[in-house]
Amino acid sequence: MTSTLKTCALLLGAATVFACAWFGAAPHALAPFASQLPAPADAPPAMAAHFASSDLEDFVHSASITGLPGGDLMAAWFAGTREGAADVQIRAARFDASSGQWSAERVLAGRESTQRAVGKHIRKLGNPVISLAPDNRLWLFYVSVSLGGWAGSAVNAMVSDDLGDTWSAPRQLVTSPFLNISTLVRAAPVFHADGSIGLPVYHEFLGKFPEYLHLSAAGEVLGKYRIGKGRDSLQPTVVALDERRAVALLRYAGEEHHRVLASYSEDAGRSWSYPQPVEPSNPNSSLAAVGRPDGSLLVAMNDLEDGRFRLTLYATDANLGNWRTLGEPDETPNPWGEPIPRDEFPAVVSEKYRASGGKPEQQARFLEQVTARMCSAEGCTFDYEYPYFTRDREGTYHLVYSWNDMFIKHLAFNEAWLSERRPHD
Amino acid sequence: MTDFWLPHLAFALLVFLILTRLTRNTTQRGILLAGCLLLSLLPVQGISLALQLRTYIGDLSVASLVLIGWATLSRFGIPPAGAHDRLASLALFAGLAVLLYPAALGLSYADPYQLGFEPRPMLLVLGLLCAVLIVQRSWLGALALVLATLAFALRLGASENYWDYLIDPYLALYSLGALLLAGGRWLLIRLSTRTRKLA
Amino acid sequence: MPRLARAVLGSLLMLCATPLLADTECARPDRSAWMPESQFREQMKRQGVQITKFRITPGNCYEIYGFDRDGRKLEIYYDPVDARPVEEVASSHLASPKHP
Repeated sequence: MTSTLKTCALLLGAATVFACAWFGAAPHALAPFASQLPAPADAPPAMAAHFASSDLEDFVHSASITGLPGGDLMAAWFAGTREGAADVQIRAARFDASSGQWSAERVLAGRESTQRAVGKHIRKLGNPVISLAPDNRLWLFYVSVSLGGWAGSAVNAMVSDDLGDTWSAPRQLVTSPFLNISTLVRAAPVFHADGSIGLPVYHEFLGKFPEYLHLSAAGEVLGKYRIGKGRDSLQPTVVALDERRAVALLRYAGEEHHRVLASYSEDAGRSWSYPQPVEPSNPNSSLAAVGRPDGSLLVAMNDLEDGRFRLTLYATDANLGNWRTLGEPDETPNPWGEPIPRDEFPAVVSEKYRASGGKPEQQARFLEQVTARMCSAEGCTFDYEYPYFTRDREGTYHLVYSWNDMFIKHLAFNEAWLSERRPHD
Repeated sequence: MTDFWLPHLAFALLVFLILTRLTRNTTQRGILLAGCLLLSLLPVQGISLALQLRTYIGDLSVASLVLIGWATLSRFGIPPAGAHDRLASLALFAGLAVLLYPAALGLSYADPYQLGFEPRPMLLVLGLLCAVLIVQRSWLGALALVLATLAFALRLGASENYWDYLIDPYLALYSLGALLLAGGRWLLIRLSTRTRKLA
Repeated sequence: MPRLARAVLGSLLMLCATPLLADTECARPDRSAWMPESQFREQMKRQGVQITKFRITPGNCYEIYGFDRDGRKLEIYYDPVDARPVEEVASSHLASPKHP
């Protein structure tokens, strides 16, 4: 074969390969955000508090919650000896709407099952995000670390087609070109009208910045869109304001102003404005936001510059210009956040335990454990952190958060109850 | 399981290239290669040895696999890539690395990694570059591009991003380092030639 | 002491003690005239106050607990219309809050 013919044949072969890749790589338009179902009218004010987790021995943290058809709920969190321990598991419990009780905990994922499925040694797990998609598939996203600390994380995905009874094996999402490290998940996904999933994620290796990960309805990565850059912001919580607009509230991890940051998208998540500080303070802690029927936002956060001793509910408009306190789901009795004397702690924390639906028969063991976790020679402190919001298909708001490192607390309330909380118009 | 055959192949080829100097003939090299493949499957703490290595080094790109595959085949008699071919390939991958990594690690707002999820512009540019490499008879670079693109089209790896088939941090470091060395050597030769002329 | 005298003395003492026990009053019943809460907190932050708790008191004042620029503990009541300080609890008395 002459040299020219050979070259032509090779060029044709290469062109065929590139053409095949071209046809298989159609651009992914971001569909509009899925519309929210309207809340039922005229429900009387209602609020209920429970502990979603039941184990007394383990450290628990970073919970998420989703509504299921029929009014049930499922919550997921990580639990183990301590954050980052090798024994940390992703656990879940189911809330039965008819009995009003949370089930016993079960393990959804462990280090060894994740390791076998994703083909890498796994050091630790964390940050589960559970969410029911509009097609009634239940998704669980969680973080695993193979190397180093949380900066070395990758996101794994599991899906259930029977509302959580059985689950697929975890599959690791490839989202970074650098050893696939440093993508983490924390806040609720947002769904698009075509069934695709917008998962707020963040990077914390050399920089700290949030991103919007776009997944197909089958969980394949379609795109990744930067929300910020630099070293200052992470853990975005995204609320769709209408079909194309969304706002992302960001945890601030810098040293300059200790405020929540906000970024907007006008094109269904493809591009985002430069994050700007808004009024509320942020002590470098996770926050959660959810949309309300009138287009405003409900936000749960530690509105402090330092510490996580108070969790506050805020209402704000879509422009984030007018923040109004709606109440404190949980707080320390000391308004400056200072430790309280050890002899005052048992009465205070026991009352909070009972008010949250804690089981009387477990109170003694609870007191022993919580004192060990929260007290030192200087006194005893309180921690209410890592809130996560969802609004179920009946319009009820569900807030879960870490309660003194001991339990995942669940608050359920409706729009009528919120309306009573407004201090003034 | 198709997600994991590439890491096993990468392990086997890497270990082979490290140990091949211990062999004296083609038969011994054949046995060594087979041994490396078997070694890759050895279970350690619940996963294979190859996957343990994968934990620490991540996934190699298909382009990397082509380069180490060619180096492996050259131990069995296939002629190694010529200097010109090698230089063209290194320049290509160094360029891709510089485009990708600084921005992907957060140094700018723009994220070129996102282009890999909608890679038609990349396919156009790299397709043309591949054609140039073929015309210039730079077979190593052309083969790396074609096989990486084929693997991406067939989604043979775990990633849905074209970049992950084209480049990885090791190929980036290797190509940048080798290019710098080559550049340094060229500069030295030029300087010494000029000095001799002046003398 | 005669019973009547004891009753009168007791009432007088109660009347004197009431201001010490009662919540601080700001006499601003018309909430539509109040400075928006967000604006008030923003103003506090510009003054270098680190707010650890904000509340609206039964006496219609804005009350904050927190720390000033120098780290000194604060408990201050403000008029909700013009954000003028109405009462500041002396930091020496802030071992425990007046109204937790």
